[in-house]
Formats: sequence, C-alpha cells, structure tokens
Amino acid sequence: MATVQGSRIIRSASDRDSVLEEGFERRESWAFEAAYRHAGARLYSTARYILRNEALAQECVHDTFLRLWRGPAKYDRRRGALQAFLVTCVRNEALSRARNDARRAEISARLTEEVYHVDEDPLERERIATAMKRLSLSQARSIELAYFRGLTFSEVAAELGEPLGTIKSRIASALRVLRRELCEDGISG
Amino acid sequence: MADFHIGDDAELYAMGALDENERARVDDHLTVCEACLRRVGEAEEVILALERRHVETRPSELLDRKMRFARRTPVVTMVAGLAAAFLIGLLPSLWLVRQPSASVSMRDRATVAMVESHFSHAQFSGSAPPAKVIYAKDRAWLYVVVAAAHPYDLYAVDHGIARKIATVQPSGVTSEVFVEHPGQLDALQLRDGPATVATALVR
Repeated sequence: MATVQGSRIIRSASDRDSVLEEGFERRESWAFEAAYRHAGARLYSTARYILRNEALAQECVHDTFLRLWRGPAKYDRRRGALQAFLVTCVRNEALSRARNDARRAEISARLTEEVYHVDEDPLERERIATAMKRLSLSQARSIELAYFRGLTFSEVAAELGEPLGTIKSRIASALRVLRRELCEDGISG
Repeated sequence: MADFHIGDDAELYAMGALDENERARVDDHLTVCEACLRRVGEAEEVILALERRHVETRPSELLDRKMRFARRTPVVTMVAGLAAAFLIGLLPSLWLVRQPSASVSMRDRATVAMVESHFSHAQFSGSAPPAKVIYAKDRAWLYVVVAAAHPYDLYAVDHGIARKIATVQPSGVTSEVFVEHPGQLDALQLRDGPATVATALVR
C-alpha cells in the first residue's frame, strides 16, 4: 500500500516487493539489479554455508544471476516470493558446484565436522527447532543429513542404509510437515 | 494444463536434491502447470524459512560489486570497429609484423592472427565493463578487448580449474591482451583482485 508522507510517496515493503517481483518476471534489467542488491546478502549467506568459501560463494551468487538473466524466464509471480525463488536457485547452483568440485570430499568433511562458524539468529533457530520436533525421528535425521549437512539424496540413502525412493518421499513429506508448522507460526516472517 | 504432475520432485527441487537434468525437466513442466508451480513455490518458502536461521552476512565486495544486466552492450560496436579496422588496416599491419625491426603492437598481432586463421568470438558477462574475446577456432591464440582502461587479470578455466594466463593491458580508454597458445580452456574469467568480475564461455 502506498502512503503519502508530506510531499513524498513512500511505498510499503510489501508494495516494493510486489513491484520488484513484477519487474523480475518481465525480465527488466533494473529489477535484476535491485534484486541482486536487495537479496544479495541473504543469497551470499546461503552459498557460503554450502561452499565454505567466501570467494566461491560470491562467484556462485553472481553466476546464478547471470544464468537467470541469460537463460529462459523462470520466475513467475504465481510461484511465490521472489526471494524464496532466488534462494532455491543459489542453493541449487551451490550444491551442484560442491558436488562437482574436486574438493567435494574436503567440503563434505568440513560440513560433517561443522568447523565452519556461521552466525545463527537465535529466534529463527528456536522457531525451526520447534518445528523440527514435529518430525518423526527418521524424517528429522534425513532432513539433517540432506539439508543441514548438504548430502545428496544418494548419500543420505547410503548413510541410512535405505532405498533412495524411501528417502526422497520421506524428505518431501518432512518438508510438507515443516511448512505446516512454520505456516502456523507465520512462515513469511 | 499438464496431464501429469511432478509430485515429490517439487520438494526435492526446492531442497536442491535434483541433478541438472532433473531440474531442467521440472523447469519445463513448471511453465505449463500452475499447480506444480505453486507446490514448488510453497516448498521454496520452507527452504527460505530454514535459511533465515543464518544471520545475513554482507561481504565487503558483494554489494559494492554492481551487476549490470544489458541485452546489448557497446562492445559490439567496438568489435565491429575492430573488424572494420582489420579489413581496412590489413596490409599495413601485415607489413609491420613482417618487419623484424618494427615495433609490433598487440592489436597488430591480433589483426594478423585473425587474417591467418579461422576465429570465433564470445561476450563476457558480469559486472565488468563490456568485454569480448576473439579466439582462433583451433585455440592457437585469443584476443581480449575490454571497453575500459583497467588491468584485469585474465584466467582460463578448464574443467573448473582456473589458471592465470595474462593481465589485460590498459591502452587509452580500452584494455586488451593477445595470448598465443593459451592451452585448454572452456571459459575465461576477468578478475579484479580476487573477485571474478566477468566470464565468457569459449565453445
């Protein structure tokens, strides 16, 4: 909703998001630049957590935007929030790089050891921990390996000694449970 | 409306658990199926919620590093000019190169190389000023031109491994470098210090 302050018209945050999403969907260059600046820090944090390297994380975010700009249109407002879409794109790119990287074993080891310090928001950590308690033990373990430790589903299946299909459907259902729990708690934050 | 749905792949896509081919298949499907598009979007919101447990980190370079998204760049004009110069200035350049005592400029060497071989070109994309690489199809040489006077480092990337092969030389309002025998590569990067500011795919 636009509001008038004195002689200036200030857009609300949701209004700004809406304009940005519309511009991004239309593949306007200003919208790509604004999205890069607006979501850059969040996307960088996502990539850095997976790649464990600041330069690689920056390159990953940068290249993801280039790929979105040069490639076919992928964002559609009916899909949902632009930032959620961008996080998925960066996460997919970072995971692909980590899996293809010759240093995959090293990255995986560091993920497992959790020696890399990432600042956590105590409020969000608590909210997610509460939602995670709604998962079954097997769901929580699978999510922990696949999401928090960045293992591929094949690696999760091998780690847990279960069929790949079982792992996939278990994680998909776990995400749906998390969505329900986080929605009740206000998922969009 | 599609006559099938992607099912659990919606969550797996958002999770980052699909490989490139599987993701491409999902992307194709999402262009025709609103139900699956919404399901993927819902899963993406869960992932975003999980990501928010990390405090945002703002690296010093990231947001200072402006990305420009342009469909056409002035470097096209620059390369067209170079091509014209190549045609018009062909003979004098050849003469210069053939004279052992003459001072041969980088541009002269590039011009002669273009005369003597089949070449292709690729645009750099990124936050650097417009730039282009012209390269021999047999990879015997490459010539990089940047529409700014700045000494970017030029890296060749082969199967994900980058190695520095040259530094672009500022000259007037542009920069350029001619590299003979750059070795195997599938991409080039322009770097400004540790940051990669532009990339070109060399096919």
